[in-house]
Amino acid sequence: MPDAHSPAASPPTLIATIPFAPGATLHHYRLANGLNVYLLPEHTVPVVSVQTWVNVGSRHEVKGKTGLAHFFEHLMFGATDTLAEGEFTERLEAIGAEINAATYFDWTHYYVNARASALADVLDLEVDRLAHLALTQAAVDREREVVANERRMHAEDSLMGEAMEHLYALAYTRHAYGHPVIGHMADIEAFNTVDCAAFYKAYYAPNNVTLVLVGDFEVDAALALIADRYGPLAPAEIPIEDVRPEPPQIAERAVVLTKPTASERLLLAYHAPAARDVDAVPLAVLLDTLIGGDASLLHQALVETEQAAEVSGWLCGLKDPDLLCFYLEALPEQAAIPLLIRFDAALATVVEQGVSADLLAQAKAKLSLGVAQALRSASDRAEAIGMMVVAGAPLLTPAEQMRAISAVTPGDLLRVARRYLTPSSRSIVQIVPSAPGADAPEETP
Amino acid sequence: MKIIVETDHSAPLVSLHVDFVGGGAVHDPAERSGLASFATDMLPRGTGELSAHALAAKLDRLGADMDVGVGRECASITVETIPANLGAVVDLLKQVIAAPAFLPDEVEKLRRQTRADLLGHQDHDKYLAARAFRRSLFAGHPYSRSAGGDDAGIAAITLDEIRAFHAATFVQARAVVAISGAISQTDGEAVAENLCSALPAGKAAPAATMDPAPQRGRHLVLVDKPDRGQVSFMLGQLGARYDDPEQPALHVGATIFGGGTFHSRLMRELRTVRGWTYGVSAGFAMGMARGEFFLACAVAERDAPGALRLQLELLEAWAEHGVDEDELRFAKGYLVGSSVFERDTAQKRAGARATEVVYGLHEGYFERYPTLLDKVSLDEVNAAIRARVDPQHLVIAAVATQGSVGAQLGAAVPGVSTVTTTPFDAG
Repeated sequence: MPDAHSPAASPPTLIATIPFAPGATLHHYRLANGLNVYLLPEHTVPVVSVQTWVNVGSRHEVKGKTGLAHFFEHLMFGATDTLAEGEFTERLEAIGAEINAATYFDWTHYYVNARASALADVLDLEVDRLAHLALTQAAVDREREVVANERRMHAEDSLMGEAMEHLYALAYTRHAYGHPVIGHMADIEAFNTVDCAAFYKAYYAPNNVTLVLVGDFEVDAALALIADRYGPLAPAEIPIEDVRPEPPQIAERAVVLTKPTASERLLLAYHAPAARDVDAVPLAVLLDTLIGGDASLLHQALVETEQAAEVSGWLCGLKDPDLLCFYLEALPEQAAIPLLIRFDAALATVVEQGVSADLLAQAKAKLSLGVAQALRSASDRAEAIGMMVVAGAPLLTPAEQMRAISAVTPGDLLRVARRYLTPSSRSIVQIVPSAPGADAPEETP
Repeated sequence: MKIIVETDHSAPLVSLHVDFVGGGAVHDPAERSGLASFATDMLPRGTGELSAHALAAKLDRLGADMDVGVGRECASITVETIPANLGAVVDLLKQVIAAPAFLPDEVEKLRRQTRADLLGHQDHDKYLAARAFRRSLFAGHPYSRSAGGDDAGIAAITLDEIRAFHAATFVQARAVVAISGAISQTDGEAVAENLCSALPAGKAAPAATMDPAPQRGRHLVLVDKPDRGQVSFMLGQLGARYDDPEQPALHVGATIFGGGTFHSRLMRELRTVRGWTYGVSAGFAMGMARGEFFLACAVAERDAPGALRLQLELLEAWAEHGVDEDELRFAKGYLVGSSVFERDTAQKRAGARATEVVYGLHEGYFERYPTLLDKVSLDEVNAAIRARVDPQHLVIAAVATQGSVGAQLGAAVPGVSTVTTTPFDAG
């Protein structure tokens, strides 16, 4: 339970020392109460990034309570037993700290980037809200309105936001990844303090949290501070994960949305491996050969030939089996179905013959550059470390990530293309423009 | 030509960013809105030696990320790569900047793609609100135009105009080269010299644009879009120039009113107290000429008239009564404290130094900027707000479903001078 304390804590246990980059060592400790701590000291800039990764996301939600993890993230900026409403953010902003949070399918992530001299104060505030949040009806009522407006902005009034919700709902019929991270509006409107208190008690405990610090500090001093602040917190009994694995998809699923827009679009989702799967890196490389930049296979086949206005794609890096998604935008006044036929033809060739050695080499070089680009600031590095840990992926150093990319072979690409690019197991959302002057847009299941 | 180098070996990356002063959208001829952006977008579409595809493939193979773009004042090109490949990447970049092919087929292809992109912008309510706001606020001034142009301008651009833009813009006299990352000062300077050696000397940038004329009265511009659950607002008036002596005071004042924190007046009243919006911001967008002072937020349709009234009341109170000592202390603590994150990577430090050159600011301006903010007094902030903000003269743009909420929005603006409605897809 977050509000209980155990008086005598054992010293932190060193789990691993990892040579993260030249001159930079990552230290992994675990406190007796289960708190995982990653410390990456570096002294180039006098800042520290303190990141709290909670192992709870929309994957842990059930029907009728969708969006609770995200909703709770908002409440974590509220009052505690000793801080008034708004005082948490006011204290941090008064010293120029950058603060925010994000919730995703698998995790909830809080960050505070501050001057290094503020580290003790930041940890005091973070442990306070982890253990002593004051959940009031007024706070729940207020954030309900804020989150409802966030949903209107990012989902209901956003063409792509709404289409993405349909895509995930089509592809995941049983797994909780099928409902939106922000939750359905009816669920958001129904949240109450009982829901929130139960959620806090269940998931916000040290043994469900990974703390990542990157920046200008000394390991011993930072570890002592963490042990002093977090060590007294008692662990909780984390609920058993009630995961409902997604059954194999054996037939294509599709939905058509009619919207006030100028062009037809297609969103496609193929079932893909989890981030920790041996196929994850080869599939990421394959994806880059297909849509990574102007020289990529699909850009050349569809955009340069003016069959499409745009083509893109992505993987989410999930703990459970993921989706490999593509976005195809037809040129104005052109239909999307002929574009889909050309897309399918291009992928069929990839499945049959693989991709060229040039495309593979280009993808490897680009992805390796991306590894370095994602580690620019202390906050970037802390986020990269936390993301790997909570996604259940192996914690790879930048050099190891580059080696994993470099090791991908043409045979790996053929294997993952044949395994995952199967039209019978894909889901499609088609967006078609509503007629000028039309009233309410339609959705066709 | 100006060369800036910021060395930082913490990551195996070198970034090279070149601004070409005077290559921005403000210099587009009125009937060729989008020329600077279009001509700059043509640069990576093939050189004398390489087709667009061959160039893209070579850059990919080198692990180089290249991007081009145009803002109000400059055309820019950025490339990032690993140090070992920098020489080969710069050789390609020289071709891109100095010897683009401008093939007619590629021009026509880009024209079709750009016109499709312009249509795609209509999907984004925030973009539509900003476009309507700027068209009305800066009517008759280049700031009224989107950097990407409009359909008529893109349709009319000729190959000769592209070549003329390129010849005038991509020259040594206008280049500000910022190199950052795992490279020494000496090597960085050599790289910049090598890059610019491919360019002609050229002439300096044209004079800065004149200030826009202020609008009188309150003007509501409704962008009618079906099926909206929210109203997206952008409202404001003329703001300040980058080199304005009151800029630090205005920055502090705008931070208290609506900039960057959970504790700004707008965030507190619209989000924290009422839950009416996910986020609201206000600030001064600086330019070589007077840019805009703006407020922006999105509010559920049912709350939008009340939220608009509240925004106007808060604006009036801020303009009339200014800010107090507690607010000033908090804002200065926030701005001075967070300034470290404006300079925590070599790329950011190099970018700040390039901005100093582009906008004619003193060398080291941004390094000293936190000190300037810290010195600002309460009287200076309030005097600057009083001198620059007049809530009786506003442009209020709102993307909304006209039939549902248009009349209520009009009624929410006391003393409104004009109300105009335009379809979201009017271009």
